[in-house]
Amino acid sequence: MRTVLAVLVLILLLVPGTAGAAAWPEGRAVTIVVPFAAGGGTDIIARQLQRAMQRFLDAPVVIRNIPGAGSGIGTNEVLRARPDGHTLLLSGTHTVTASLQGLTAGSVAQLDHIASLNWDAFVIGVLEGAPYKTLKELIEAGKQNPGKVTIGHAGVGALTHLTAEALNRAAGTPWTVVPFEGGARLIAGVLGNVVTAGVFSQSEVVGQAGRLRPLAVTSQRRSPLFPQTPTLEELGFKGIPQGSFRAVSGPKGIPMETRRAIAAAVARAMNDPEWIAFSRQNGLVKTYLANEDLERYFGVLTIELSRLLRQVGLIK
Amino acid sequence: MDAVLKGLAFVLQPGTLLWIVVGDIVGVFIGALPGLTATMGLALFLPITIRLDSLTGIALMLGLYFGAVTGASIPAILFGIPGNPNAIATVLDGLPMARKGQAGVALGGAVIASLIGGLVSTTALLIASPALARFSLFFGPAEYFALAVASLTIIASVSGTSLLKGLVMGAVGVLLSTVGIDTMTGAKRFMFGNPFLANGIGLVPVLIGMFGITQALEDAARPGGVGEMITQRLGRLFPRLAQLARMWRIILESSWIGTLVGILPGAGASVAVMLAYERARQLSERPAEFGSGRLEGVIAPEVANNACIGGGLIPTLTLALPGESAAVPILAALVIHGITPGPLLFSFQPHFIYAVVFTMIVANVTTCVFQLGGIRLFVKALSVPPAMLTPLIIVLSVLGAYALNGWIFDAGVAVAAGVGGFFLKRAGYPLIPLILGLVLGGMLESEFRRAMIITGGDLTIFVTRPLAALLLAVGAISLVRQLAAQRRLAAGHGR
Repeated sequence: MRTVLAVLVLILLLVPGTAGAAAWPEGRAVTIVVPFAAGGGTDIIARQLQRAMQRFLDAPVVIRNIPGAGSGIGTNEVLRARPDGHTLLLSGTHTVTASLQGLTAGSVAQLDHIASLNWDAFVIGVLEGAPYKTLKELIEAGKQNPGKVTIGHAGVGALTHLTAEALNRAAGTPWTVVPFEGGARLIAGVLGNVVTAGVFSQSEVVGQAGRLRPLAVTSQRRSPLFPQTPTLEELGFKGIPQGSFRAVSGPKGIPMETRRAIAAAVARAMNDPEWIAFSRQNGLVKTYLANEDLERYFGVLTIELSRLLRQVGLIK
Repeated sequence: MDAVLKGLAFVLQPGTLLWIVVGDIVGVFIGALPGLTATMGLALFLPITIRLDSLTGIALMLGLYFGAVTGASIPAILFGIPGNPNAIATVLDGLPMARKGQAGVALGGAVIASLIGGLVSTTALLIASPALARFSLFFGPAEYFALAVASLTIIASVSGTSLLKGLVMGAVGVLLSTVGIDTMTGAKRFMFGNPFLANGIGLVPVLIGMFGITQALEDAARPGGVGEMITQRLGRLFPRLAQLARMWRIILESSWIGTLVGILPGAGASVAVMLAYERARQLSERPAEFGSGRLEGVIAPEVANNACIGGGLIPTLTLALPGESAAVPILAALVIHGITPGPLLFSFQPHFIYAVVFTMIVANVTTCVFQLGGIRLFVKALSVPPAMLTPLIIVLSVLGAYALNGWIFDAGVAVAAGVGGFFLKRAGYPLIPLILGLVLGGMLESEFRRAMIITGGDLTIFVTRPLAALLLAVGAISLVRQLAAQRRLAAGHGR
């Protein structure tokens, strides 16, 4: 099987011309830099991608965790790497927010964006057994008891922060927004009744099934994981970040042939049944855009997120 | 019952046993080498576990975890350099014991203490897990803040002869912890445009510097005293059974301190070992002799740090909240293997929990056997000529700090901390409060601010929440006691 695939890959690479075949992969390891510590949401997705890509590549795929500065330090490492396709970054909304906040040595535009993976929507949730059955009730409660209803998020400058702030503004600021250090602490905060509500990743809510009650999802369409839960758009809220977005990028200047080869490899990985099952289990929404389309999309995201960051006061 | 047998059957497979032992051996070496922490070792081995099936991967990680925590006592006792933060309290009495020619008893005692601590907390994981998981949720911002205050004041008052110097060092540590991106507002503080400072001053480089390099410099500066105990004989290897039996209360309480602190996310073994050490001192018949080579002073923290493992895994498995930093890679391994930690794990995959518990028991026992069997070997392996030892430790420390993130910057931090620590120690300033301030500063600050955001600035939350008030009172009492002890000492000298 492996050899058959290897031959197929070889043929595919030979067909468009020799440049692509020589450029990537050539047996030398492909490093995917994860700009967060091992074990987080982005890392888990990267490792799933590594497994799926490994199946049909002759070169080893290696994950390197370079945490720090809200993904800034790992990004800097990739910005400095040789643009040969052997050093890639697990990029996404975190790359945009980190660069806008000046935590990276270059802007998002100084990366080559190659292929996108998925959207990870957020869930606004409260403790199961809390008196709030709908988002409207939570908003009303906040308006009636100023300062008493609190909503937590997983970290300053992260997407859950922007979502919490944007939603609070859109609802007429009924809540006190409380930062936590990471999703785990946020779960404990809501379960322990330290804060009333939280902006969670979907997988976090699934992991606490029966203990957290989802009130709304941030995705465009209803999540298959929470079919009964309305989307923010259905509830009349527009322009709120839909969740975190993840992609594969590299240092600027990778030859187009190589970029296409990588994008094709990612596309194949995303059709891997294990990847599909994993995505379904965690509520990840597949979004495949490659090269020029993805570059354009990152441009749109940058404009949207810089507006939000400015509103929240994280950039001036 | 079926689940218990399934779990047991898994652990008794030769493949599982083999990986546990591999983990043990690697773990003990990681623990024994200063600068390599259990967390780091587990993170480094995470990629390997992905290639194994889920339970075998976890078995490897648990073996490594126990090995690393236990192995850290070896250099702590022999050289006064803890292999990792889990052993910072072991130095206090372990090194004096080694200097008195009781290195064997200290090392053997540490291994046995580790075994007991590990077994007690494993039992706790098995029996009390669901209930204990709920306990961790009582901890809101007020309680975490109070916990940080209590830990810092206790450490400031126990780790030096002068209360003031201890408090100053604690405060310096807290001050250093404010460097980096403010986790509450995103503001960049004291970074001076250096992105390496974004996450703050690295704890591990400081720890490596202050324990590795400072100690090496001290040894070099001590005329003729370099490596004094290395040439000494080990002496007997085991504490007498009667000696251990007399310490039953210390052992029991240390087990519980370790387990409970392990459950709390963020607190970690470095807090547990100090609390256990202080409690042992209170329980001892001769508290004044602590720090001069009491066996209880080695036993208590060594029981507590292994107990932290079981404690830390309780919220990891039941709530997906790692109690200890080293539980983070384990959590990652679980999730990668498609096992979703949470309350439902107990309902739907009970055999998995039993398998983990049995693995922990086996890992505990095999670590104990391996380390006891290897003590004489380790001592030999570590008995490098003294003239070589100092530069070797400095090189290893710098390399260890560099290897952490691959940043030269961290190596620089380690060197600065090492040189700074050397002069501070000479001036009579204890280093442990500084390190703890650096560890707990973030918790202290962010929990206080979080409490203030939630209550709208109402300070009474720290006294109206009973658990928070209790913890603050514990801190205050330890200050007053130390102050009274210093007065008595001063009065005694005056007479």
